[in-house]
Amino acid sequence: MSASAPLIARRPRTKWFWSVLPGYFGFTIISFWIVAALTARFWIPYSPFDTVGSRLTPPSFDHLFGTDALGRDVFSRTMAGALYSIPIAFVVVTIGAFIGCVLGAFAGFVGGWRSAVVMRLVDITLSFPPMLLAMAVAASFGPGLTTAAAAMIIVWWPLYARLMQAQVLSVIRMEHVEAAIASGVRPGRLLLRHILPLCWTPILVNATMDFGQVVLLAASLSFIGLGAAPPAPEWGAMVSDGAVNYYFWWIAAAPGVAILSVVLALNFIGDRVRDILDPRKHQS
Amino acid sequence: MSDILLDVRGLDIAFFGMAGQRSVRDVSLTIARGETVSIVGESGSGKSVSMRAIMGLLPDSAYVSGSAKFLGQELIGASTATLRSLTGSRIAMIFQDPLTALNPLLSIGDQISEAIRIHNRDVSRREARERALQLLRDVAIPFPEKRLDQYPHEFSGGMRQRVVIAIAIANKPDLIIADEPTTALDVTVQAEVLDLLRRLCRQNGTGLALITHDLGVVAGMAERVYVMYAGSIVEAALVDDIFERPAHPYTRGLLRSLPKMKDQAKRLEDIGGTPPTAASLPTGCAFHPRCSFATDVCRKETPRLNSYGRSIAACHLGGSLPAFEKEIETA
Repeated sequence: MSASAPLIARRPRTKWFWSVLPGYFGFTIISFWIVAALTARFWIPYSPFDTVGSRLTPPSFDHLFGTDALGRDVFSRTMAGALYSIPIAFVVVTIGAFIGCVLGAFAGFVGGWRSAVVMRLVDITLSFPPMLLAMAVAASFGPGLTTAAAAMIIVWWPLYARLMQAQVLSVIRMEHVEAAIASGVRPGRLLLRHILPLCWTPILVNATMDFGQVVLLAASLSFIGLGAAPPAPEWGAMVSDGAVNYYFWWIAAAPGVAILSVVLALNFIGDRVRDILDPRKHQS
Repeated sequence: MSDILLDVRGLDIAFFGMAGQRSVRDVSLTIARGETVSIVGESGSGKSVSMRAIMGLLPDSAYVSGSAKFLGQELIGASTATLRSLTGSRIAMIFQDPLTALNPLLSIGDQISEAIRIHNRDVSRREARERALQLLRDVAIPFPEKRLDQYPHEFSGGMRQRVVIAIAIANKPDLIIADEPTTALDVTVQAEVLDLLRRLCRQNGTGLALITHDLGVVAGMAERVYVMYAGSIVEAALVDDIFERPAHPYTRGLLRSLPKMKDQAKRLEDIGGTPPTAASLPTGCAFHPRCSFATDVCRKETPRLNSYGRSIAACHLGGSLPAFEKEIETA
């Protein structure tokens, strides 16, 4: 009997390899940037804020990615920039998802007019293009990293509220929830113990996917001057400095590639997380 | 009358947006202490909906009127706090599909303990666990010590239904409402689960409302039977009378459409047509378009429940129906 063919064909090893490769690739890159964010200040060759050489020198051994218009070392600034983009993305996604989940779970669970109030608020917020709303909010608060983060949270929470509400509505119809009601479980306990634990998968998948989007939006806000204040080595702001004159391409190139690598890596990770948590949806 | 556990009178249920059509019309039934009563009917006949209404499980879009008294306490329109204190402790419910009726993320032991501790605040976690273990033994689950910490996905369908039963009997309720408890199970497992349910109900003197469409289950379990059609009770009788002397043409149709051992070659008999929905209820007797005995009266007037022998049935023709021919099983 041992010679008989297995009933279920195994996925070829090579195909499996290619399907998980981007995830590990993304994970490696993100690990690098997280380590950079935490330790860059100890090993970067120059101060990211001060003039350390002649202005606008192209990449060389002294200045790996060249220097910018004020004679600051682009390599040091790019590495130090990780400490802006990554924590901001983390804070925005965490707080945004938290607010969104609380309101969405509330709306899905209580229903009725209270749900309608929350969900119309969601609709109103989502009816603005995200970039435009973030710009408007950031501009009215006054530029700065904190206000940019606040603006992005305001843009981001409705997505999670909508996702969570839909998820609660679908879980609440499951028979085990009805069984819990029938055995006399109180509403608070019902929500926390019998409904929410089954709601997290899409939230988690969405959150990993959104990380990249937030990095991009944060950089965009800084690019147009609504994010980090000038001396700060924020990637978006650095690209904006370099975009003034394309002849000195290296000023924008390094932070641009940094943004690209982070967003790409986070998208790869997001895809992989979705494959792991929800294998049905994405099978190629 | 202290023997009456559940006394339902004139239960009417309508759903929002159904233009005044009622899904359940004037249902009255009683269940005595320790008695097993079966509610039989096709899908959509209102059997589940009426029992859910009693448990307060219907969505807000349902309008329920009438009365359902549990040991003298009114359940219809009772506050959620009142219902919460009764459901799970005095009235328990067993759901149709054991695969979905358990929380997939909590261990079996936690779920049984939760059912105990919700209604007995003074029971400690350890005591609840001990009791959960005993309950698993009561429902004959092998290796209960090991099983206690396992999760629903590690159980087979029949074992899960045993767990659901364990949760239902956790607080020694007076009444268990079982909504098609064996429909999702294998036939062999079905028999085991039903045996278990019957034994436990006898032991504890628990009343059992058994919702089913399986007449085999009815014959084996119930003492009395209510037959529902299109939202109303069309016949109520002792279980023997249902099988020997069905008084309503619909009950006869149900019995005739059972597969018979003797003539397998013949096509299975059925009741022609489909049951009406609440939105398209015919005038007069709801069953008349499918009834071979229907007369003009049936088309015009809604029949009331009348007694025929020991049974009651809602049929204009009641006494004048030809005698029911039980299939004559000759060799």
